[in-house]
Amino acid sequence: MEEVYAWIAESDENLGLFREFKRIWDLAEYGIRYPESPSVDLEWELLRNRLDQVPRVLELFPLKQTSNQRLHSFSATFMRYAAILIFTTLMSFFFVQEYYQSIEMIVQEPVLREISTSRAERGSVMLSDGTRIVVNSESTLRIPNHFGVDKREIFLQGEAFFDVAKDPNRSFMIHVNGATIEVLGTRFAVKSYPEEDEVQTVVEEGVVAIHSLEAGLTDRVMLTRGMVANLDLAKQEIVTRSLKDLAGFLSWKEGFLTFDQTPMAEVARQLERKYDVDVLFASEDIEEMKLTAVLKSRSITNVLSVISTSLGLSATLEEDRVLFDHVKLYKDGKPSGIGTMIETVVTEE
Amino acid sequence: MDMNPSEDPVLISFVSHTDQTLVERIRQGDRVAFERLFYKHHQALFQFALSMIRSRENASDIIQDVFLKIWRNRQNWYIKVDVNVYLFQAVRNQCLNFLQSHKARHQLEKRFLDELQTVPEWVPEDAELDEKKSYQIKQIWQIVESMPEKRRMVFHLHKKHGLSYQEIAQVCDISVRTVENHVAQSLQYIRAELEQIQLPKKKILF
Repeated sequence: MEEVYAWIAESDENLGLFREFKRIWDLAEYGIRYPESPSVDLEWELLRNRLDQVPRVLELFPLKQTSNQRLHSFSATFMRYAAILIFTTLMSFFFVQEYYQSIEMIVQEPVLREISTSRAERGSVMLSDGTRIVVNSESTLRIPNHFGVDKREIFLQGEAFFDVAKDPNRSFMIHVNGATIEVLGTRFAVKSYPEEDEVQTVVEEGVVAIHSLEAGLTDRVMLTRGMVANLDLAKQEIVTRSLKDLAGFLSWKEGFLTFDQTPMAEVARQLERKYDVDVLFASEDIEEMKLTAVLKSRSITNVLSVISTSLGLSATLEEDRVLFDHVKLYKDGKPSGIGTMIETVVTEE
Repeated sequence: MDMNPSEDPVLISFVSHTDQTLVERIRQGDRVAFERLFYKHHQALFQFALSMIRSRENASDIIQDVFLKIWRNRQNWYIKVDVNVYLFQAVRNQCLNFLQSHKARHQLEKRFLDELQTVPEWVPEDAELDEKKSYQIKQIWQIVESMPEKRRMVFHLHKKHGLSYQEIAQVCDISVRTVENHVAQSLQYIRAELEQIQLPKKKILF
């Protein structure tokens, strides 16, 4: 990689060229769209009308394409483009800036790829070093195009489980909400949603080091198997403890919801993320109620039924809105149908 | 000096579990799941098809056909790649077939060829950008439009749709190295074109 820097430093021309490539690259990152995109509703309506029609002819093109459409091999002309390929190579070295200060100015930001999950979505990511990541709902991972020579760095917002491939020469660093979590190769989960002002780390295997300059934690806090650390960014403190129910903390990977004396306010956030609903409380004291449950069902009606039953609440699901309320009594003294029974107004599904 | 990028790009793949669940449900004939899949991917696929064939009507038709085909063959819809990659793949193949058959059929029809040469009026996705930056972004993407079809496709997939090199290789049925080559050559081309645009302005100064 020194060679690449040397190439840039070699002449002003190279430096200028590199600077231009970087500028184009960054600008193109913004993307464009066609202003008159068709209405998806209309397009769906058109398609829906065709779904049940029996195809008259097999009017569709074959999905496989013929070999003459393949791109040619560029190996012969490869060398001609050598100079510009340096650019792609350079992407690996954006993190190593210590030695070449003159170049540092243009190489400030690494080129990153962003992966985001929406509400009710989870995903798996595989990286070139063999690391696997499970990303929970409403989370964003930013991953460089290339890792550095002495570290592997990525950025997280939200919740993710990491199975980091061992590489004693390159530690793996996760930057999350003002904290840095560093490992060599191990399995652990990190959670930090923007609204929480907290970074939670749960270790399934190996050793994990946490430090946070922002929270004044310059010394690393080491975590081992079965431990959880909660870094409170506002109070600038980190609390570690051993977990009895490690699996519970990591069960979201399998699509389960696990609560252990969890306040309903937090339960609500998790339901919102997992099922893409809005959760409302009829009175504030419900937010403080604590729930302990393992919810394996995929169906939100089942899940709401379990929660409302165990807390003696009522839960109403209307379209994509959930309302938790205290069970109200009818004049005859019977509960108003909810609490043990869930009242649901489900539209089509 | 080693001219090959020393490492593969870090991001190899991203698989949405939710999309996988949708595929399973669609296979069982779940229409709600099918609708979700359509809504989730329609926008990106339309933009991609448009960048390939430059005709709004035909881009719409192609997306419709891809989804119709999925629905009609739903019982046998087993895919090995991520749904996102699969859909881009299907749209790409459909577009290539479309171009091939129409170019052959309408070789003499000037109107059609003209239409294909009409560059769509792209606008930057981020409306908050300042005017200068927004102009530059537009300029870059307009240059991209004048690139050869395959290179344009790779560039769009990478920079606009955020697919990894690995995923683009799957979509386009080429090697990761070739994808890298296309990206590198695109950059070189854009730089040269930008220079061309800026040259006449400099001359005025003399």
